[in-house]
Amino acid sequence: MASNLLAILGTAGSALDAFQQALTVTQNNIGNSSTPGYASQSVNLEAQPLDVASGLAGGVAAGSLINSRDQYAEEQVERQTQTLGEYTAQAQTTGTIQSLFDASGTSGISADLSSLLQSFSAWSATPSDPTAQQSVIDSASTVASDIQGLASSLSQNAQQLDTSIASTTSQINSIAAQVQAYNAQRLNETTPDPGEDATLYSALDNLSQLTSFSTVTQADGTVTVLLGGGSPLVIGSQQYALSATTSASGAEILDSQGNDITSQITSGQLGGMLNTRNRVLGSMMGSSAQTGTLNQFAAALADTVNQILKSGTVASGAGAAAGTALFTYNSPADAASTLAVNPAITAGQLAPVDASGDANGNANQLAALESTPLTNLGGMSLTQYFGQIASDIGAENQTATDNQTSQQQVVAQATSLVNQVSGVSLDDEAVNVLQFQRAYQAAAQLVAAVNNCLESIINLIPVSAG
Amino acid sequence: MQRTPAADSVRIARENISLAIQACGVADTAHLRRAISFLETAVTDVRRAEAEVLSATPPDPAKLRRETMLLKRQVAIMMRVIDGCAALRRGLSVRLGCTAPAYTSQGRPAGAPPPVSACEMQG
Repeated sequence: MASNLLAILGTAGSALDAFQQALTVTQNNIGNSSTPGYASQSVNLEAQPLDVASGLAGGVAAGSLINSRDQYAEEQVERQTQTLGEYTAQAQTTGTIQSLFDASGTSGISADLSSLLQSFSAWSATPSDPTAQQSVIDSASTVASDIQGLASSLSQNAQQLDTSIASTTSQINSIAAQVQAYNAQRLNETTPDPGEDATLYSALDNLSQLTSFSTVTQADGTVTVLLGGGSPLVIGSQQYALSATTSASGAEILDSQGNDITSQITSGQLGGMLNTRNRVLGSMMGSSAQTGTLNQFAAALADTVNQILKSGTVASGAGAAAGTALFTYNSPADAASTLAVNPAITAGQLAPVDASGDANGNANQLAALESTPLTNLGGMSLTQYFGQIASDIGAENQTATDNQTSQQQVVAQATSLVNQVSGVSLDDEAVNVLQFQRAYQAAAQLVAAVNNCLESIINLIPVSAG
Repeated sequence: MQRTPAADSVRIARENISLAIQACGVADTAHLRRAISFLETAVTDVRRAEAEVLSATPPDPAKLRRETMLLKRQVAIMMRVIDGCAALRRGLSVRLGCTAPAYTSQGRPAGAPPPVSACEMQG
């Protein structure tokens, strides 16, 4: 009888302990409801064996802590946030570059080029008029100066991006240090502390905005963080710091051994910035691997104009002086940043007469450059080629902005999913998932209907329109 | 009854799709129903525009073409949002062991449920 009483008291005691622990966990959940990265916990109440004959009184005891965090949902948020970070950085950086170009063509280099071609045209009508000659030199000077200005602005953009890339790399290292500290702490604990767990996931959320990475939770509870391509950032209590540098090919990210791992950073803000810096700006400004479209444009303008002028003479008749080059630049690789009007040329040294003796043959050829396809510009005219450079950056910005808009919604959906999945019955969630999938199918069909109708409208609009 | 110019109908459709995109940012059925309702209205708007273009030459074809291109861009964004959100749910359904319906981005049923890797939306 006494042993039964003790067993009952023991059962009651262990039940009280269990519920006390459950209460503590609940208080913890309430207290941390707005802590970034915190996932609610619950206590697994384990039934105790019941065998009165051998003195086992049954009841419950507190078991392991159950974390409501859903790995799939967390990973999706991280993954989608990485992509959003990439698009956001691309939209911002390409937007800044786009603002350097005038899409309407009424100002900037497009307008300057138009003025130069008009001055050639006016000069062709009065080849020996000093005012017309000076106008050509003045217009050429404006074009050269604005091309240099654009090259300089692009170069400043590249430098700003290099600074941002270095700063983002430092932020990544700083977050990696937080993960490393968590791991070091975790190696000394048997069960994870919910507060530290929240800090870890908050750190990973922040990291996902900056770069592409994946995580693996090891058997000892530590978290291994690998960059997109597999380079380690944190393994156990060891951190592998990244560094940023610049070279002739653009911005580079180096691992702790000094290896170039730039190609592994494909998303996150860092991925987006690297993309704009190395691909978009690289294709315009040139790099070790390419001349750059702006340099090609500047060199083609200078070479074509110079070639025409040098092939002719300043006046008709034997003994007339040969033409002089109007433009100068250092080399094809830096043509845009060094383009200038030949300091030695005077208005009287412009050569309107072509090789066949036509008094304004050269001036006419120069005036026709607006629509003359040039082989060194892939068969495009100067005007078309510069327009293409401006429209390419416009298209880059539009794509990035559209991607950012759609990705914001996907991230919101993924974040919402985390809250929905945490701490709910998986059976309920399975029903929910089916409902959502059917609703998305319906939405997709409606969007397809709009799209089909749009195609029909496009085909019906008269071709001559806009 | 006064006729709505096709370009205006297309613009209204674009605004409705924009509202549908915003509604998709919250993962609950009420918001999703609102998104579908906006899309249904958008379908009506574009059909009205199509009927208008079929009945008479548009007074300002350039404006209509511009509005149509803007709507096309908005449709592309909406498609990406639906694909992205559906991929998240499809991944969750695989995780939960239930068989969610699989379909193409045009809303047609696909032959078989996608493999797990297909659930991860590519950027």
